[in-house]
Amino acid sequence: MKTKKLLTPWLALLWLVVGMATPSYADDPFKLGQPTPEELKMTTYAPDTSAAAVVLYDLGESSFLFTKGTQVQFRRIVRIKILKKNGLDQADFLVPYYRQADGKKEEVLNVKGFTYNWENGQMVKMKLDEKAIFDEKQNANWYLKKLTMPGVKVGSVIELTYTIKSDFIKLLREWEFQQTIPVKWSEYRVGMVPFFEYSQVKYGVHPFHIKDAKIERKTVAVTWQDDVGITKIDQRGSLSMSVVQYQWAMKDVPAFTPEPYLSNAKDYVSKLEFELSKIQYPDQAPRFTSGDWESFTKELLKEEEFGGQLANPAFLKKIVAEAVAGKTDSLAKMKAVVEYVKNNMRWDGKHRIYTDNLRKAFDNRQGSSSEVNLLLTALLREAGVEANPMLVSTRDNGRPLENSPMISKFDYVIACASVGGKNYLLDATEKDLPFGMLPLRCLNGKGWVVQAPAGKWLPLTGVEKNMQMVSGRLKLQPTGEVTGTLTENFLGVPALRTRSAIRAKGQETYIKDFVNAGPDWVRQGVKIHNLDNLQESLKKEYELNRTGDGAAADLLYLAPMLTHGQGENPFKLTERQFPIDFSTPVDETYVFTYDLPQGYALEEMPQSASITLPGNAAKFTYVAQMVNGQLQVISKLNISKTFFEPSEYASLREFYSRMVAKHAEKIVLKKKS
Amino acid sequence: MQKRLIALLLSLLAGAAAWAGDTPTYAAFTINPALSKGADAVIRTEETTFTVHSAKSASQKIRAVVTVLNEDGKKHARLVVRYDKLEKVDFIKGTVYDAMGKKAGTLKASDIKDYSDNGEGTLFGDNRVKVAVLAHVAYPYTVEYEYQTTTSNMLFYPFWYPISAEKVAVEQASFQVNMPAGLELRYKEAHLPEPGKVAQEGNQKVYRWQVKALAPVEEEPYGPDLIDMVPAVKTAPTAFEVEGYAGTMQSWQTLGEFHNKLNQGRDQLPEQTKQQILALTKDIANPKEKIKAVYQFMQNKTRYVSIQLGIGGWQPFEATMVDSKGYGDCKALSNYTKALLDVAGIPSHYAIIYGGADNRPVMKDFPSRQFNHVVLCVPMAKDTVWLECTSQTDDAGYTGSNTGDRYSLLVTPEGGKLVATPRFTALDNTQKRAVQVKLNAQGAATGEVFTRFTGIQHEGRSHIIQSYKPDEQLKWLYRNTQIPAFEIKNYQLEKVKDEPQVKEKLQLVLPKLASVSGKRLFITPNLMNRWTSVPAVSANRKQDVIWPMSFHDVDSVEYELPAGYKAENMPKPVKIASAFGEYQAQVQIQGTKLIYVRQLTMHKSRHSAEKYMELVNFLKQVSRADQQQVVLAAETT
Repeated sequence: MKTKKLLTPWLALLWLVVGMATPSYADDPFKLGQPTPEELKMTTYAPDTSAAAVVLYDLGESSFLFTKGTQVQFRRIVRIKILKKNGLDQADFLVPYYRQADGKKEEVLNVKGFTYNWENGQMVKMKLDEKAIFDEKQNANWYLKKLTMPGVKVGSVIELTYTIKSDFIKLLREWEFQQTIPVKWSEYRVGMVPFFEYSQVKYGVHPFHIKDAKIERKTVAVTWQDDVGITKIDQRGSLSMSVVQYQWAMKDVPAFTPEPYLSNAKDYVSKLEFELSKIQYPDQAPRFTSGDWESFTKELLKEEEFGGQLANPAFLKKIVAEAVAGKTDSLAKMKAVVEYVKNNMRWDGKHRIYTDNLRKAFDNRQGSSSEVNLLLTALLREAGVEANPMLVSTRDNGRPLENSPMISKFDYVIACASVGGKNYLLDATEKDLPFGMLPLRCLNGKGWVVQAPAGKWLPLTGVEKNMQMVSGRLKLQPTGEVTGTLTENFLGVPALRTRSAIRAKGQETYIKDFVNAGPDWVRQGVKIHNLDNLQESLKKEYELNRTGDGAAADLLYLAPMLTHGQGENPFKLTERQFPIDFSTPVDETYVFTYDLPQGYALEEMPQSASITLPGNAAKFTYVAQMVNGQLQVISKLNISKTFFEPSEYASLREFYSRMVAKHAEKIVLKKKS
Repeated sequence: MQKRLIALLLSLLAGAAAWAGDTPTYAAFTINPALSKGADAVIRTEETTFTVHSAKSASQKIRAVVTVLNEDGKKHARLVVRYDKLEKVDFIKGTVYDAMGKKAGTLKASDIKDYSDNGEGTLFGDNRVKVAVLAHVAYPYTVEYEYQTTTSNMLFYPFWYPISAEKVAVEQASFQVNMPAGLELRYKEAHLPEPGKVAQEGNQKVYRWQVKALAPVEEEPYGPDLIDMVPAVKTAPTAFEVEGYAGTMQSWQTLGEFHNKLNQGRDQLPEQTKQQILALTKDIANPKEKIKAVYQFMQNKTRYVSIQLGIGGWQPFEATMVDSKGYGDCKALSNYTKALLDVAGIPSHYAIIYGGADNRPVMKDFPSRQFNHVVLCVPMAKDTVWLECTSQTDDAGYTGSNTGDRYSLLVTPEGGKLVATPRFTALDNTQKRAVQVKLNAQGAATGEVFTRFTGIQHEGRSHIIQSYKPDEQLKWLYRNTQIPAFEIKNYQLEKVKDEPQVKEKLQLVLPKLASVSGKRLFITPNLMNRWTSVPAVSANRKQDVIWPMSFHDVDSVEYELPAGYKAENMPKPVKIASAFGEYQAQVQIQGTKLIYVRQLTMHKSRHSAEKYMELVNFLKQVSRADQQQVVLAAETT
């Protein structure tokens, strides 16, 4: 990140009010040390009687300080009631804070805590011991204050307050109204000063109880430096300004519990997030750090650790010439460059936007998503292909925010190239990705193309087709024995998944595990085709065998989906609060053809069926029929919509339930008498 | 053709390297391909030297050269140096070489990252780790590391095992221990091709072990842990000192004496608490009830908070501190509970143990610190009561998968004693289930399930009763109920008071219980306890076969059938016995009812490698029998 000069001489010139004024602060609504007897005596929390603990009050306040450069001060007071034994761990607190080598830092100050117990008809108060507050260095930048409250048992009320002073004004502290235990009252106050503007985003569904903004005239203490000949001296004064006092409060917020098939649970917690969008000191031109999308894009392109890295690609000239040698058309050049980066840069697994030195990363042949794909972008440009970096919020990072530009909401960079009017989204981090396909982590709504002048959103879809196709020719014997040859074909994401699985285990172990198909089935002669030929479908071929009984049976029962039946409904719960995200469309086809034994007649066969969800969001078809004396079973599943709202959950669950039932149906053959 | 040229070139270079003689080369191609087959990394050399300076301090120097053959091998060339308040890192050096063995870089201070390294459950500790990754752009490459640590914590001597993971080969590795005059080394060797050698060199007694050309070791399903199969030397002190506390480890008895010293004087209690305990217990005659009352007093007053600093990793907080703050770790809470029981006139022993379901066996013949946990042992006339003092919810006396069936070092006034905790048979860990199902002609059904879980099988549910909210409990039940399609209409989970037992009632809707094909209904009568995983067939099993847990499951399912159906095909009764366990299942029609009964009993046991196929076949037959179907056909009238 760039360092920002914050206290500029304008202070001295203009905004000075001479003399010392006492800063005025609003009264605290929640005073430390004043839990009520009711709170001490309460034994359950009525709105959620199962709660192990409840946050009675949680108050956060952010304000700006101007005595040591510009700082953000965050103060929190929280009061928690312990209701059950499994709520005791609420008495342990972790407060992370950040420090940089250049001296900019966050500091945790004024940590105070109390435990209150109701004993023999009166309140007994214990103070958090300084010795129970530990400081731990996590790594070069992150530190943790760890503390544990004394005398905590079921029934205790605990209170904690602390203040964090931060030199980083770029990120105003976020506020989570919702926690893993229910919250009775949660409030955040921010005193915005006129020089900074922040984008804010609200997450979650719980409504605000209070949402208010008041303008107050405030006088704050200021310190700045004056040049006095060869040295500088500190000057003190105060500053009067209009402060917008924001207040957000929620009450009776239920506990947050995540659900499966949710790409990012964090997106659904009720919270507020902020990011600096504009800095404007009096008498100076505004500086947009993001603001609207156009200035966001411009700033990024100028940013030394992003666009700046693309500005001086001299070191790439020779490489490009080598990589595209002999290629004339743009598409071929583009493919060659992607291949080159895939083979010559190793992704270190990190999701990053910025890099401080693209060249160094290239020299090490290793780097983050930013380094791998900015290099790809630079090489494409050098090869004469129109290319731009594209910002992505990966699936774990949460959905991208389309209405407010916040760089912190993105965590990944890919390249967006354009040839012959067609866009290609390219990521060179994965060896197994065919050209034009994106890894699963990137398939998350839209990405922002950082392209002068204004940039644009593009949907994050690869050009690939996702498909899984299994076909087999099998023979059924009077003993019930089944033998045959199966072919499985994979394209797109299913191919990527299978290739990655094979690579992770090694082909030999993968086959060894694959041969073991459960108690009934044996797979033999497994062959894998096109493991390295990424543009072709990945193919598995093998013989499938089930031993029969010793003697011929009068009735033969056959589950025609073999080992490929959908055995269980993946959606077990009857209700759901959050959406379901499949991430990619699904296209699965199974075609099995059976030679039936001589002397047997078809007694029963599953009926053909077709199930469709509204708008063709998902479709399942199943056909069992006799074709030229052979039995043919075809099952097809298509899910074209990838994101289902909670309101659609019930029908999706029913859809799967019917498919499971269909796949369980049997074919019955009877011996002719 | 090109390949052959390279091969030729390589062999020429290899020749040159051999010529050079005294300068060692770590070019990757000098590795014997027979050795590196199946390996991701090859340890070219590893030299561990442990020098004991006195009973108070020692240094360990490790030099390792590792060739990384592919991406997966990278992790084996990661340098990880742990340290803490009592153990300092003296230096770390590192160099990286390319495929040809040419130096390609050196480790810079800025490449070494420093992290805190306390376990998940620890609030605060002083364990830290320095981590460095040296890598080269192309495989294979070789890294060389050398580092030294000096410790003043002499409770632990090294445990040397040059192969620490699968897919790693070793060209050569050596372990040397230098002992000063007057201090004896104790050691235990395992799977070594040749025993160690001892020599007197000047003032020092020098012990040396060496291994050469170790091919990668592969873990097999239901086999021993890797660590129990590889060459290893475990060492331990005789006389030692840590933070001013001296002891000897000659026997379990003397190790216990050392812990007596650490714990001495830490059992004082405030007068008020003593009075509370006396008042609480004075009217209870039965000693077991007394123990229970004191244990519950402790459970209600305290909670588990792990703080491990320096000697605090082995010495408990004082009982007065636990009493005033209301928290402590396993040592502090056990020590506190012991002090409380003393007031009540019940003697007990601080019991050091290995806590964990992986139940690493204690080497009984090698007294040393092989533990990670402390509980309290209360000897009784008939059976001993074991107290897990870190739990606010456990029943007094329950050990289970965390501390049962193993040895514990009791710290008694006479010193240490190794004592066994309770063992479990299959009949201690049961799951007994009775199900009533009402089925209609469309294949839909409703079911009532009643299950009683005991022993180790009750632990999972006992945990969710204690720590999950009802909606989470329901989700857990959905996740852990194995039926292809079902809905839980109602559930009830109840922990039986003072017994290791949970009762579960489920009311189920089973929309697709039977698969309908025309006039037939297909039912898998084993509703919800099907064995599905069978380990892969292996023609040449090498290692022992270990079945990890004893249990006994009984399922009886009664289906009320729709009218007008008769059995067309019924599975035959199955009865199988093996060295690992016994299984039987049968299904019958009785009037309008289909009755299924299944029993599976497995025994914790260890067998020789040739028994492996017996296990595979047994599980295969169980699994097949569990999936057998009944076919009902509508009677055509």
